[in-house]
Amino acid sequence: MKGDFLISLKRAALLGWKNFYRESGLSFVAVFVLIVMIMLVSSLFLLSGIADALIRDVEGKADATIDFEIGVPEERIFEVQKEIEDNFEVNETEYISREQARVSFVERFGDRPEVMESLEEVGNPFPASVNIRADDPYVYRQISEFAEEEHGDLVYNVDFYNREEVIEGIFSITESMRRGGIITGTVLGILAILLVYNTIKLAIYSLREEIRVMRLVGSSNFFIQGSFVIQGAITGAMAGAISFVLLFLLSVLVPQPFNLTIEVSFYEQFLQMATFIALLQFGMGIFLGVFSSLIATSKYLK
Amino acid sequence: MIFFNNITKVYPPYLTKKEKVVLDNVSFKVEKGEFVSLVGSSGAGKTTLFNILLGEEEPTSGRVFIEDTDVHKASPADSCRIKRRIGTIFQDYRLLSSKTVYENIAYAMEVTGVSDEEIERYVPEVLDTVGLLEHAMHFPYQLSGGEKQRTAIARALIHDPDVILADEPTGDLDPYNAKEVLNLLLDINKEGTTVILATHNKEVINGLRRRVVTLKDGRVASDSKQGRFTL
Repeated sequence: MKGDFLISLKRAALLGWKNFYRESGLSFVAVFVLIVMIMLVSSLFLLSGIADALIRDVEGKADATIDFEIGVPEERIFEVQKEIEDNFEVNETEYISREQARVSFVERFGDRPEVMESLEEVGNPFPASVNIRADDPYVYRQISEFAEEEHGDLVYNVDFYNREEVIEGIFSITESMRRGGIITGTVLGILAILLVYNTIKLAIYSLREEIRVMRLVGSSNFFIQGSFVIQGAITGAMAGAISFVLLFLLSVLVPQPFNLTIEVSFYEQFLQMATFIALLQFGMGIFLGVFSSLIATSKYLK
Repeated sequence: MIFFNNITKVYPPYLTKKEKVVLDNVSFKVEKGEFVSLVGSSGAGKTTLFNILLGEEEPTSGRVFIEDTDVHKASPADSCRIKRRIGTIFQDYRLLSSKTVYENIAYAMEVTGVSDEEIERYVPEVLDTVGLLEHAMHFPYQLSGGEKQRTAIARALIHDPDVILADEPTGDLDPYNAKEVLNLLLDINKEGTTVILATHNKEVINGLRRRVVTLKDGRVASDSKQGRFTL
């Protein structure tokens, strides 16, 4: 019994493969439709990955700086720094003394004599400051409010305000991208299933006479359906493989100006998500191929 | 033994407002090893009767038995087994267009689960019997009408079936090929296989001198042992 099942399975697989390459016109159309759908959906996932990477990149670069009035003793600044560390979720804080600020300015502009001359004239105009980094950019707003309300007499300026709009803008864009991605992904997913199902349904409709003949010679439903399901799986796997190569090539070919930063490039992102994308594309292709074949053949096997 | 017991088939109204009675209380038996010609004009119900025997259509009333098995009460597995005991030949050949002559015949064996060795042994034998060995790797579109029909006969024979149902097998063939097909059917019958031949070809029937069941207006109009074409 087990032997019969294995023989049937082997023969159904062989038939599925033969059907796939002999009906090359139909197979080409089915593979093409699947590729279009798989590419659309997997591109969305890749874009979503890019959005995440972009957010991480922006988060990594975002910081806030509290500049203190000149003359505020270091001890008072350390007290404020400690209060911030104790009361807010910050990753790190760094005290930069007036001298350190001057040194880093000199390092940066030392090759420009006119700037150095001006600096000589005014002495050290730089305030002592505390630089803050946090995961959640909304913490910056809270810290800024805290510094101004609680230590308004010590604080000269909070640099967060200058960047607030930029940071919020980027977050708003990435959030919209996420939401748009989910909606577009869902719509495309439904379209993909409908389109692929109808393509495979048409392909099997053209084979309905063959199914009738298969039944006439005493073929079981399992045997008939098995060969079409395997044909669907081969179609899906082929589409998955081609889509993977296409998406890889696209990620390599995206011109550099479109790569948002050096850290966030389509190619790097593709490499990072390669396993997930391969699983998604093959899984989607095989699932759609098998599911559509099952539904489309069952109509002729009642 | 095959027994058609009071078979009635009524198709519901479609384009016309009247329902169509295709078979009306048809009853007759076919004994093992018989050669029976089923005669009737086009639309007399011959093909419907074959489809009912194959379990492809349900009768509106009545029952069909093969030995003791009621065809329409058989389980799906038994239904497959019944079909494997019946070889079918049709006017339109009904070959699998995407398969070669060899594969068309091998397919009928593959579905029964026989070993590859047996398939490799028997398929060439049957192809030789019907004179198609040299066309084994041709696809149906590369064959003439007579060759297609001989492929269908080879496929029908590959199981060594108990019964051959031949529905207008000579309908699309020239006289030479028609005679060849008929001779093949007679040879098969000589080996002990029951043959039921549906046709409206007068020359074929009168040349056979075998049992003739005539269908007219959905009823059995006559059933004679050495019948002639009487429509």
